Amino acid sequence: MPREITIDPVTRIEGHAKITIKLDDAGQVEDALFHVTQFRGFEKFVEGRPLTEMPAITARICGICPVSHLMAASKACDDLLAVEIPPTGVKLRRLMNLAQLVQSHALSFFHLSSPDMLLGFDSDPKERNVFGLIRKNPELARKGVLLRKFGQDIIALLGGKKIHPGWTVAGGVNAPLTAERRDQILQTLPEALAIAKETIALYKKIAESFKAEIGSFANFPTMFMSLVSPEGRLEHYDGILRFCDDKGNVVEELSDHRRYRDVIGEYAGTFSYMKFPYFKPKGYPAGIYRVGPLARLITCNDCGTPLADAELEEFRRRLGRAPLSSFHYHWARLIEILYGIESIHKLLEEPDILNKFVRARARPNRPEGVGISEAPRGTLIHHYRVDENGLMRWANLIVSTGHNNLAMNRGVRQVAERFVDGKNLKEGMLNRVEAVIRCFDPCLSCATHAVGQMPLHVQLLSPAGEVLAEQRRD
Amino acid sequence: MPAIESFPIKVLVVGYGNELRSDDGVGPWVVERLSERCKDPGVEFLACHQLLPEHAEPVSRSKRVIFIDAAADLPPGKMTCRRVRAETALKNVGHFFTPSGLLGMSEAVYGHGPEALVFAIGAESFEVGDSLTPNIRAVADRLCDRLAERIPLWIRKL
Repeated sequence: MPREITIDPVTRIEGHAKITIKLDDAGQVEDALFHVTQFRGFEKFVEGRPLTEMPAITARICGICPVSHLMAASKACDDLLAVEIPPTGVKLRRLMNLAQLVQSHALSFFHLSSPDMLLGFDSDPKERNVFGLIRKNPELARKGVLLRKFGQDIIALLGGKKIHPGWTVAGGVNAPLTAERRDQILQTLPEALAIAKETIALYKKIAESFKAEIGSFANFPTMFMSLVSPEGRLEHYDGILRFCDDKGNVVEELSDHRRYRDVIGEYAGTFSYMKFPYFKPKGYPAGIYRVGPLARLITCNDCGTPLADAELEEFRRRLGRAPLSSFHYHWARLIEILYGIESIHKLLEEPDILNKFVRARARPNRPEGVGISEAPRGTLIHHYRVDENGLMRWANLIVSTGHNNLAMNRGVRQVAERFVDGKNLKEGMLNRVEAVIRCFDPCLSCATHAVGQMPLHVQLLSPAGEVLAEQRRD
Repeated sequence: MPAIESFPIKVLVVGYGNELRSDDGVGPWVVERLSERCKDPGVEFLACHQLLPEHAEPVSRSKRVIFIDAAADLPPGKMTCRRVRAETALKNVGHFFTPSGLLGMSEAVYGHGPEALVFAIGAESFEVGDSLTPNIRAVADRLCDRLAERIPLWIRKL
């Protein structure tokens, strides 16, 4: 009896990702795989380009998280220039990165995940989306838009453009912050903070009702990776790359980002264009690890801001030091929103935030540079090589979603085994399989460096390979 | 429905697409050039990679929205113009919106989904590249001319 899953090539329009679930003769799940079928291209495209163009080019990889690519690319370029970035330049970059964190997490929670949680995983799929949410709870939906707008407006105020701001450059940023713009941002903070607090309170109230999902949504031991500050605090811009085990114990810390390949290997699977990064000392696939909000709250000692620390304390009291279910990404994301708003406030009150020295200028002084930062979805690595004229010769990008590839695949199988019954198939079962992927908030256009869309296609296959059911989200 | 005076934008022109995917960037390309030619205070321009939820806010403040996009399902170089209406019964909503979804978002959250037109241009190439193919560039130029002529007329009427 055929056991192989046929990978269906999908076109740009039909879709870039799909999940296949293979049943055995008894109708039980035998295997499940998460395929990403986009192709790579940007690393080739950048060859021959001046390094100074890299932030602007790589920011165009994706319309969802351009700021994250700006950060990692600028940092890789800083490394090539071998310069020290003026402290205000670093603070302004941090500000933009945090604004990106808030707006991205707001989209993930309010628009993509809360319909499942507030309307129910088994609710009518026609209603189970942001419009259904607006109909049921228009005030909450409006707050989601406001929080998203809060982050996007900061990005626009700093960078001049919301989607592909070219303000972060090699050596710093290309314009200082004005007092007027700082005050504009400060005015919007109280409302954003109030929404963040209210949303966390709401989440804590409803999360209890998802025990089955919490128990099986990618709930297994893995390692966790993220940047932490030199003091071990929550960090999104720079710092030490820390790996923790499934109990939250530190197993590896890397201060020299150029050595990332000593600890991270990339396995190329046969069924997906997205590679499978793993912790090298443990090998593939035992070196499975997770990144993103949940990982960051596990690897850090604390947040360093009062409200987020109070929430982290409760998070750890209720779930333990290293909660293993990926369902908790949602809660972690909301705590990070709170942290982001508090940290933006803190940065804007720094005495030198309006300083005019924001950029160091230099010619390339190293042939190779690495930039690592935390994108909303997890650790983002840009690695470049240039010639003596500063023209790009080679690039490698390991993006947040890629790091979670092994965990997403294992999670899809776990949730399929728990919820999918081939003999009594219901739409809500397949929705849960899709929802486990949503916990990670993947961005496949980043992960495979292709054009920015993330449609998803779930197929249920009989032992003979016949398609029994499918669900498509274009 | 908000009062007419609360629509400070008479015409909002939104060009969207990936500028590093050759002809996919035709929308932002048109917006960039058109914004140099149309300086009327009643018109606003937005060039973006894709349509996002927060774009519902400027849409809700507009009387008419013009979307410009590359199309994969039209013959290369063919341009179409169609009316599009607010849609709030969408099953699949992801990280970004379609024009009708964005209008729906505007209507659902802000109480106003303005009238809108979508100009779609059949693309010749979606490969990695930072310029339009010559054929599509010529079509985009023609669209710029057409809109530069029409927008002042619309603004006077709206």
